[in-house]
Amino acid sequence: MIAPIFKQVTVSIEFQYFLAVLIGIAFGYILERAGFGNARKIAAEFYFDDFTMIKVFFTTLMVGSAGLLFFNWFGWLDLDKIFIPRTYIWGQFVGGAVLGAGFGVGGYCPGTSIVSASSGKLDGLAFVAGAFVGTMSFGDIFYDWLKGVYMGGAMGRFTLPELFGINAGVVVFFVILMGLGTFWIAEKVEKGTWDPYKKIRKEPRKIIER
Amino acid sequence: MTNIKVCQLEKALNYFDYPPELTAAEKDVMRQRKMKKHDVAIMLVHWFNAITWIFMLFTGAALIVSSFYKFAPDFYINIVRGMFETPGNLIEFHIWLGVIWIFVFLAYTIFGYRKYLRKQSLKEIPLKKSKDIFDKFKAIQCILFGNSALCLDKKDFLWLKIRLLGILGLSNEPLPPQGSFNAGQKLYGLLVALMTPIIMLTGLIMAFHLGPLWLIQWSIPIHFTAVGLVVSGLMIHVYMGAVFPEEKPAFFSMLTGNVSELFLYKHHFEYWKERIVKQCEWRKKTEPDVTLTDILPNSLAEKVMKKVEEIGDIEEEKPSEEETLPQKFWNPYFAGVMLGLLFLFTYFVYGRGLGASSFLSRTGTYLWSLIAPQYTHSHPYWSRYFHNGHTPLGNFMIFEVIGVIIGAYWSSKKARRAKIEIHKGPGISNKVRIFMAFAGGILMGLGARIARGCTSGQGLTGGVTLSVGAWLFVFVAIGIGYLSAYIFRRYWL
Repeated sequence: MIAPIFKQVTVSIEFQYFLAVLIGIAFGYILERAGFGNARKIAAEFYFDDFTMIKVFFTTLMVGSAGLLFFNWFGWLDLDKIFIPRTYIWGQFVGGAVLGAGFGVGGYCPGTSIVSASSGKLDGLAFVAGAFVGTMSFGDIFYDWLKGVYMGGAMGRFTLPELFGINAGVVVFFVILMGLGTFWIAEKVEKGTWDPYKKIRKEPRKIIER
Repeated sequence: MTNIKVCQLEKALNYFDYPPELTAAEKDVMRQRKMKKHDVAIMLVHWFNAITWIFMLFTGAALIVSSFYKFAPDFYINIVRGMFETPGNLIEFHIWLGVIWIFVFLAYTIFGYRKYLRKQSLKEIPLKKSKDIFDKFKAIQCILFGNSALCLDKKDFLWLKIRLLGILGLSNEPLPPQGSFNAGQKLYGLLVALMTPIIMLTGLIMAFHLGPLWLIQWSIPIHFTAVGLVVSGLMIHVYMGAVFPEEKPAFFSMLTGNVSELFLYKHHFEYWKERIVKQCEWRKKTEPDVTLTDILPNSLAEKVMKKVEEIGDIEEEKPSEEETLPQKFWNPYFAGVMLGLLFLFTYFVYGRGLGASSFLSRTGTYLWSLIAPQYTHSHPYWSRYFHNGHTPLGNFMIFEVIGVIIGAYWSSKKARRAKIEIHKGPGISNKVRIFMAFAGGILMGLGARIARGCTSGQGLTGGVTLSVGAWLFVFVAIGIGYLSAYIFRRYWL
């Protein structure tokens, strides 16, 4: 097992931070190119006209989960040494709901708002400011109140293969199947005429290309 | 001049298929005027190549001793071998000079291709548009060179025919006008561009015994044939450049980079026209009262002026939409694959994923700690960032997000999307949009903390590692997202 590299060999902290900046540059570059600096493109996802967000999201999940599995099979990557977000059922359920509500209101998520603000979008900047206030309010104002939810349903490092009691490969297979199914539906809806918001649209429905 | 548009001049010049006759005095003026033809880098590469080839041919000929391939006389082989003392030294010299040559050319290809060769992108090459065999051939060359000035077209074959007949004394037709390179140079360029990689590859295979025996054996005749083809062209190239009197200025242009305007006018008329249009465009900007006679000889200026009057007023061409609009976004599946690979790389190196929201909480905590260190260090939530002597800013996430800011700005600048603006639905004012964005941000920031990460830090990172909580988070966030979007539909549609 040669990876994770930085957990096998000692690398100076400066180099780790330097590489982090480079990885961040690639991250920001890809997000901007995908169109995530544009709130309308992200929001269009929820109005059934432009499914870019779900396509990028699921493609990343497919490539990432399958890749990690292959790395492990080849004997390169020790999956016990990588960081897997801990499961706190209530925290993630409530957090996901609050965050989802923010999507409809603000149109960005924290990462994409940073991308948007970096390219000069004032709404992105306002969103970052809001996210800063929201983040700090969690610790400063709501922590005592939300502590129960935040800590609720703690299950530690708990993965889908463990939940279903099946091989990780099978889970990834289903993830890929689900992704392909989602893409199929997304393409159908994008090209089709089905449009539940037809009556209230002020502008024609389209995919934002630039 | 001020009343002539650049495009009018371009059109008027294009009416002249062949260079009009000039008076002796005008020719003299043109002969004095120098025009830059080659960059210094190109000249250096050219002479490096020439010297290397001389040494390589010199040693290579002496290396061929097997009776089947041998062509150099024995005394030559003996002399060269004598100069290097042992055959081993001779082979080593040939190999290492070859390796240096390959390295220089690789460097030139990697760093110089975009600057000196590629003048058009693949999209501009008309691959499928024409059924004409000459156009297809040209398109294939354009993929190779990325520069239509280097590709042979139909006119060039006519030039080759007339040139050949002319040298043999069978024809005295005038040669069709040429661009920056004439057809002979282009033909030779194509030959060299095709043969050079073959020579390099077979040479490496022979020198370092790469691959099975049959491959090494086949490399020998292929290497010789490719070199032979280049040498046959090289003879004409050297003869034309160094000996043939008409092309003499071309030889000196390879030393000084400059060539007289008269030479371009006579031998590269098409290229001369391009240069004149560019010169006119540039001089019109710097000297507003420049006249046509400043740029062209008097007799020619008169003819051009007449043509311009015939053409009359035409619109200056505007840059196409493609060049002014922001670039198109990436294909989402491509972006997804790239993002997936980036996640894999990060996991491979750091054993962790990417995120964004904890940048905000970490900087916030750091700022708090400046004002009230006691408060943050004993706070049930914020104190986590100070465990084991850590500081909130000394973290992967901080540096990663700094990178995100740079990368996003770089990309948006490159794609012409970097400008101060507000994205909003058509039905709301800027003020409402800013307020909504701020409010959405608050929800997002709060939600991200409760869920221990945002779309990237929880959704993607937990998603690829198949964390149960992360997948729950993803489905809840998307589901509530659709609900919330329905409630706020009038703000977006």
